Amino acid sequence: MKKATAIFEEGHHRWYAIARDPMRPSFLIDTNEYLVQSGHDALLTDPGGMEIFPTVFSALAEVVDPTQVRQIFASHQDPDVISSLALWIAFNPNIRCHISRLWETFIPHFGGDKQTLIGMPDEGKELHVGVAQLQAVSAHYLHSSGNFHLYDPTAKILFSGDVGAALLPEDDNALYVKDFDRHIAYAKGFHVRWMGSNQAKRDWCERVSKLTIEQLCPQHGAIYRGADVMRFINWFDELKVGMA
Amino acid sequence: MGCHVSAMSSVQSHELQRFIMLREGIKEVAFRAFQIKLLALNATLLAKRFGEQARGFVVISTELRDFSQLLRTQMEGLGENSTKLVSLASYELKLLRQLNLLTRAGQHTSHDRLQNAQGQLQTQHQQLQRQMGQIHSAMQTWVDDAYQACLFGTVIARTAKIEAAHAGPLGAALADASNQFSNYVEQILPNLEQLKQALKG
Repeated sequence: MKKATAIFEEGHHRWYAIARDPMRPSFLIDTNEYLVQSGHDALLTDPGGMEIFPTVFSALAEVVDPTQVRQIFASHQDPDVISSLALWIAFNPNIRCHISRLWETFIPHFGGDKQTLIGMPDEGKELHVGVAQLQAVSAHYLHSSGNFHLYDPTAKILFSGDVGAALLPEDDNALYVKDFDRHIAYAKGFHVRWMGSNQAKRDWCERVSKLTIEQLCPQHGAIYRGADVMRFINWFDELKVGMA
Repeated sequence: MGCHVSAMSSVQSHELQRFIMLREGIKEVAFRAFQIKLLALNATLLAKRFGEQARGFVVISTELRDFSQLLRTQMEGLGENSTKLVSLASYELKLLRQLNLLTRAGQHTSHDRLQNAQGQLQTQHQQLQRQMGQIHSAMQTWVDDAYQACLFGTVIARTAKIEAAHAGPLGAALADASNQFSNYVEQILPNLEQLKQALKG
């Protein structure tokens, strides 16, 4: 089963990482879901695929009342990101899902309708969870053509979707990156293949390096924190991407 | 059949919501049980500090400790079962969604494999419902037992107050502890009553 771990806590403002499922079958890519809670309001990032809905839902219910999850933030359209949407809607028909405007009419193939899906403009937008103000940061072509990350200036956390992802060996279950040089070897192939544009990558590195980030939280693999955040951005900036 | 499965799916999403409410109620009672545990420790220390002068309270504090342990065990049992129930109910939601999609496909075309797939999912669903029914019954037993234990807790609270009244100049500290204990038990009882009702629903 997955487990929810608090990665930030200040008063009623919390971030949880729902990660690492030892029971996960090896044919499913491992994913991280993040829950942002402010008071009695919560937002879930990239809730994952339909197959893992039971384990994500159960882990989440251990730490918050799931009826508080009123918003979903989908970084992009992939099945491991958002194919569980129909089940979240079944649980709470009033849930809202923020996603790039490009995917508004594609995502209802997984579930949801005009009311559920809130298309985000290309430049991003501000999202509110309780009293917390979050920023949807554009990350188009990294890797999807309509792609967003989510920045929380109070928690100093950037949820970075597939950017920063690493395909770790089965026995590497640490929540945080421990040895950057060792870790990045598992991230390299993924970024070279999945990130489609050097220009978009350059622009992203330029913009996010101006943000204060203490934790960079990808959808796959371990979380970068402290000095490893800037280490990663510099590494990514240097990397040539968009190649097989 | 399609409408039937779809309606079932809707019922199950309400069931999941109900189980979540139960889970939240259990978390609340578990929190109170934790407070009682701390109070029991405090009562034991008080009784030891006052020695002979609070001999009656020593007995009470032992009862209180036993009660807090019993309640904690019961809340752990309830907590584990409610976690399982939420997990199974969320799995059921997924299963019904798949069944719904297969059933809708079956409305337009008839194929043996489609029917087989539907049949397998229906069997899985029946097994799941049996499992959930067993957990539900186990939870009813845990809640009933916890309720009975709390009724006994009210008796301990009353006796503690009497003992505190007889403890002379030391009575104030013991009375504080007794009153606090009484408050906690009084807070738990309606919560457990709600859980009992919710489990019947």
